[in-house]
Amino acid sequence: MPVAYVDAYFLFEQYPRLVEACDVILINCYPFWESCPAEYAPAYMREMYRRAQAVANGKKVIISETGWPSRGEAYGEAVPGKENAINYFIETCRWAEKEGVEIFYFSSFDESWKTGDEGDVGAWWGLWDQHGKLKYF
Amino acid sequence: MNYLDKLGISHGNAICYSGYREGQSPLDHSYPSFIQVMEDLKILAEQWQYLRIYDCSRHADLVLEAIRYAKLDLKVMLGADVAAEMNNPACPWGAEYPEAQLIANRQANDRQIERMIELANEYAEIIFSVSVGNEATVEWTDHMVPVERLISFVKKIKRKIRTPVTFCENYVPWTQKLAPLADELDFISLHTYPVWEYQPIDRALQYTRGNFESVVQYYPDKPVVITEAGWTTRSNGRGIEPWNASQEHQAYYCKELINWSRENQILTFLFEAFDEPWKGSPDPHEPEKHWGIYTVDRKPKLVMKELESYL
Repeated sequence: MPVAYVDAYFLFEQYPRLVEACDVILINCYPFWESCPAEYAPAYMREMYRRAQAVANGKKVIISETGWPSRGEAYGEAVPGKENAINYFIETCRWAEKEGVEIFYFSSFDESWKTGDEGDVGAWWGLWDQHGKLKYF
Repeated sequence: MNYLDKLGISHGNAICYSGYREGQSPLDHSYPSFIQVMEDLKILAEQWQYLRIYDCSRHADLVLEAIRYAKLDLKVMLGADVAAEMNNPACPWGAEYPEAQLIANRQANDRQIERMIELANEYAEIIFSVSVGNEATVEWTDHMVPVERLISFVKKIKRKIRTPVTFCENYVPWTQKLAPLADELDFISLHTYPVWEYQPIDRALQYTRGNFESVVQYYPDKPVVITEAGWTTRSNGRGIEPWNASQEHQAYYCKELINWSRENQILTFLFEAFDEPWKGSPDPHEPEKHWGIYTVDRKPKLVMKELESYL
């Protein structure tokens, strides 16, 4: 059974011993939390993946979290919104399929309890709302 | 007549080259080896016809020796790396020097110009132009040199050799401050960096074109070339937003830049061939270190895949 540890992509650059210890490299990629405008977010996410790959010593890199919120307060130049969120989802999936990259999309359901540390955007990362209804139809 | 004819050259792919690898630096005079430089030049000679190098140190000797030895099809713009001759309180990271240092720098600059003349003679078939300095007059520079001194360098060179002479500078000082210098030069060399000016990738080439046009309009009768334009692939957020620095953005900008410069026959030196870890702050994400189209390990970045078919 492969054993790994999940963290932000850049931590694997900072700690080569972490890469050594893991069987696969599980990276979380959030352009949103780096104030990236939505239109450049997929490109920046792909750069995060490329950076992790460059330090992975040939180990497989899996994106263990990435996503974009559909509502809530902007973070710098990163603006939540339904259109931004669905565009990000579609571009991410298209790229992942084309390049054969494995991803876990964040997130399935909106989580209304998550409005503390992450401010009010914490609750709005889901593809489905808290009642299990798809948000993008 | 194409302006390049006046310089005795034809249009070609041009790139800035500085071969300092991990642990090497011009600051402590630790130079790459002849073998390393040869390795670099063989990579570059596949796609590029013009190289720009930055100083007249041992590094320049190595580059010129290697080109001659391997009979590589590369023409060189040789630059002088002039040091501060005056303080510049406007430099954000500090450019105040003891008087003794400034005096020593003036002497070193004179010696370097002498050396540039020697090299231009010795390698006349390789060196197609010389530059009397790099970014030594722009508002934020840490090595400010008075314009009159640069003019005196040009005059001294012109008395001794016939190689075309230029000066490489950010586009801003060319419109006004450098007019008296431009009178003495054979051509003007400007630098354009949309990403240092917070331009998004989709407006970047338009910005570069604007920078270029502003100088061309000021000097309708002078040839104008671009001696630096490029895109960094990493940033810690100082001066460039981290999300604006990436291999995809670099690839996009470089492709647009090369297309445009080729269509309009504007000689344009891409900045730069290889990443240089010695540059800027010690932070590994420092933007200054990541302008190469190859990494410091000489691995091609994404841009090379994009450019492959038409370089």
